[in-house]
Amino acid sequence: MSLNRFPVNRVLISLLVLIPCVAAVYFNNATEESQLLRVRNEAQKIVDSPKLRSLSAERCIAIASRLFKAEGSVRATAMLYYIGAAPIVGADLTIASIPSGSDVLTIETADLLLIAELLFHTNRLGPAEQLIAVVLDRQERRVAALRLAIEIRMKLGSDAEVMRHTEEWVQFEPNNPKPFRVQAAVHRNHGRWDNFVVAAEKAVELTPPTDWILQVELVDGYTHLGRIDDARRELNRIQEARPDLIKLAPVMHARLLLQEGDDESAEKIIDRCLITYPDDTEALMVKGKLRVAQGDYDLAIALFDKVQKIDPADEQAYYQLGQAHARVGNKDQGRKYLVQHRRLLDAKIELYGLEQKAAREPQNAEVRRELAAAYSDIGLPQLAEFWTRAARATGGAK
Amino acid sequence: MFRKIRNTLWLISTPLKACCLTVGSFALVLSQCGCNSETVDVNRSETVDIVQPSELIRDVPQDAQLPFGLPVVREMRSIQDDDWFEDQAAQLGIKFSYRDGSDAGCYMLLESVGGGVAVLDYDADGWVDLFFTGGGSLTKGDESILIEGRSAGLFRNHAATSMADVTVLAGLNTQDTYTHGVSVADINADGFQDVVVAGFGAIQVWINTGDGAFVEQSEFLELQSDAWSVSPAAADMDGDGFVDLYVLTYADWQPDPKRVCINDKQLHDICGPTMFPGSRDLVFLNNGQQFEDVSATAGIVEENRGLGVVAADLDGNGFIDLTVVNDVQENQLYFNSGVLPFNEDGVLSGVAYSNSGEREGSMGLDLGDFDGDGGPDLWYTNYTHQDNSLLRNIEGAGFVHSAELLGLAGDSRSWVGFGTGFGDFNGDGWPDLYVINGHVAYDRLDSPYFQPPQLFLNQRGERYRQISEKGGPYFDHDRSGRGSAILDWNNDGGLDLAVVHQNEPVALLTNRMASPVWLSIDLVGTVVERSAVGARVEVATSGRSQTQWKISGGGYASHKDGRLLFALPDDSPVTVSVTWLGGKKEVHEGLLPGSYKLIERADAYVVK
Repeated sequence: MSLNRFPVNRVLISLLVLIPCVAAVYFNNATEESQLLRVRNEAQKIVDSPKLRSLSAERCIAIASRLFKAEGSVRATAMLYYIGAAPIVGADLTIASIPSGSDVLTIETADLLLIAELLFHTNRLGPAEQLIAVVLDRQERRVAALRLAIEIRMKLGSDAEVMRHTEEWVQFEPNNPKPFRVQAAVHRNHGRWDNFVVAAEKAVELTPPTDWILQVELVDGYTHLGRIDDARRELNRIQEARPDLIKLAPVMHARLLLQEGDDESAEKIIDRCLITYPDDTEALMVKGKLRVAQGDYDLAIALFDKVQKIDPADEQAYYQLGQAHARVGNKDQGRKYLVQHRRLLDAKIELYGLEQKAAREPQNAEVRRELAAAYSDIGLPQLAEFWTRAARATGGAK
Repeated sequence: MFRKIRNTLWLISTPLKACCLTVGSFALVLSQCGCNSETVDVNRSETVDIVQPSELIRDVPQDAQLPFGLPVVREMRSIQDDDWFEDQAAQLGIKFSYRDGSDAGCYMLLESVGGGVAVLDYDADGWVDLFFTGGGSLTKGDESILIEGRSAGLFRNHAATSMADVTVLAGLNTQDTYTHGVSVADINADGFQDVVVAGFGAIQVWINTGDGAFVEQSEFLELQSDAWSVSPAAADMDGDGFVDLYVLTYADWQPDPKRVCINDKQLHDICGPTMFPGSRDLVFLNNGQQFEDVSATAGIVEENRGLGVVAADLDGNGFIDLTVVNDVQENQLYFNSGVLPFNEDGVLSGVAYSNSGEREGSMGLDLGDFDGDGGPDLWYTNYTHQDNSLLRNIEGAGFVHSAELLGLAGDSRSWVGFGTGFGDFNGDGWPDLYVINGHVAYDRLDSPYFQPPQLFLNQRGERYRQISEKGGPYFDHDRSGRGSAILDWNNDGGLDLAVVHQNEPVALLTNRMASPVWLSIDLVGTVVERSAVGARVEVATSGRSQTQWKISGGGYASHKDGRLLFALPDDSPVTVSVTWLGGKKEVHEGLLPGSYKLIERADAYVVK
């Protein structure tokens, strides 16, 4: 072949065509990457800066939607960011399609975490739970993943998993008080004061001594356990440094005084609390029990009656009412309240079993619906609504 | 609590159950979460998190460490002058241990109940003797578990110089029943105390022949049951003058080697009682010749998980009432109008639930007058995370929970309480309290298997204060305690304690704080049954009155010294009022302190 016959022009023409194409692909990819980076940045701002939430969400979905025509993980990532941010500004969700499971697995862990956080903050717990499960399987960004998993699963009522995550978190950060605070919160919610105190003591140990509120909580835990000496020692310390805080915890203070045998001072504190907060059921209950101890059943009945009216699903109010009526000889009335107490007690024990099941089965919408119905039955609409939302979030909207 | 902070600093929109975590700060929110606080049924069910046939468990869990494998350190410190008690069991020749069969590694609920002790004067020599139930053994097969009994132990008190093991001599060395609790009564009204023992699948009735021997006569007396009975109480329930029996049964349970339960440490451990339905207790009426099982018509609940029982006349109407405390179920109070069936009124009377209206895991039980008002108060021990319960008697109107306001909250929440009782150990005229603790599960996270015994001082009926450190060397060490009984084994006027442990030697704690001035009353029924259970004794001194009741049951699976001991402020003569079962009241004036008085019904008493 002679050089004369070499089609130089054609090659040049081809090169002129190809180079821009390659460059276009190259720059396009680079552009996609940089655009995805912008999506991420805006999404991060949504989480970090509540004031800029709407603006960042607008930007996030605008940039993400430009990437819908991309392929592979970029497209899947962009779609999920869009889905995550769109509800914040009421954008049309139908223009994005949910990536397949295999596509989701191609998304980077950092993106999955951020998207899960967006979903969580927009109350879509089911999808958030699904994404965090993928992240937890990867063993990357472990502490961040555990923290988010705790938040999501706490909202889903999966306390057993929350506790497991906190235990793992402690392995990574043994000197971080936060996992212990989470544990304390879970125990407190369940009224497991013994466990609460163990966790809270650990949190206090790892927290700067200026966190007086945490210390007040610990004193509260001590009083629930009747650990009078510990409660008094800590309370005196707090009283010296932050007397204002003790005033903000009147029922705790009164409970301690009652346990120490100082009924008079306790009653004064409770009375002051009830002037400011006449519907404080805890204060009303403490005062009612004190009246029972003093043999003043009629006043106790009035106090328990008020608690029952404020919180008609509080089985303890019915129990105390039933007992106080029985002590003054109103047996029929007492029996009526005690029947109601038993009904609520049994219902709540059954609910506890269901909640355990819900915790073990985070994707089980049916059990969450059962919980919603049961809470509704016993007159706890807030919890019914909570479990309805949880059922919806786990994909079982009805 | 913390209302202002709750309302201002941390606004929470999520409801109750999951409300207590803020997103950014992880700060705890001091809101009052209305649901699930103190969900009671978890207390014993927490023992078990998973139960499955073992073949379904993919990873066979590791076994919880059995107590046999644990090092036991028992270096007793020497006794100090101000110690209240000294363990003299070994010194006196009492070498006996209750065996629960746990060494076989079966992890069965049966192992957890434990045994008891009975204080009796079987040879009528004026010195109380000790009877211990033996427990039993388990042998694990592939498809079944073989349960065998172990001999009881009878120790004869040689005038407070020694205690001789006379088990074989007395014919008590049989091994046919795995045993738990024990009671004492004169079943055949012949003047000699007989022994009733509860066990798995059988009740033993040991009739005292009066010559130092016992003969088992449950079949002859038709006092039989194949239920899992744990503790008897003997009293005249139908007012006919013959002693009847109430027998606690624990659960409808059978051994199953394939049942595997996992504890909070993910270890294979004992399955808790909530895994099994309860069972109906047993009521046997004595017609003077034989017993009749009237459980189905006696008005008792269909099923419960009874572990503690006291028979006494609670409402003062002249008839025996019964208090029954249960494991993770409502407690019962059976009122007796003189004609069965009983009227069960535990809920309305205030004994069924805790002070917060929750079911408790209750074990030991006793009756006494802690505040000196003359009314019978109740005290019972509970599972971990629950305070023990003190119920103040409101005359004619039930009971009020009083532990929290009397300084008894908190001190026992870490422990599983079993043997317990009121007793004026320091002789100041006010009944103190003791609690023998020990876990039922072998290796849990939240509470250890071996636990400390506790002693609480009664401060003039107004408060209790824990003074376990003054109890003596025995109180320094953790054990797995079960049954216990108050007694005065050396007749010195001080209340001693006999304690049964799981697989460890029993203890006999001699009181070192005995009041120099005391009076002890031993009641003998003539028209009423001979043990006179149900009587009320009031001793009036110059300052105040002290009241005690003759009961059956109490302690935990045990039978205490039937004599009622009163510490007195001085040696002036005192007036003793006895209200016998049936309501007859006798007043004995001018009784001199310092000795045991035998008071027989019909205005006669004899100084022994």
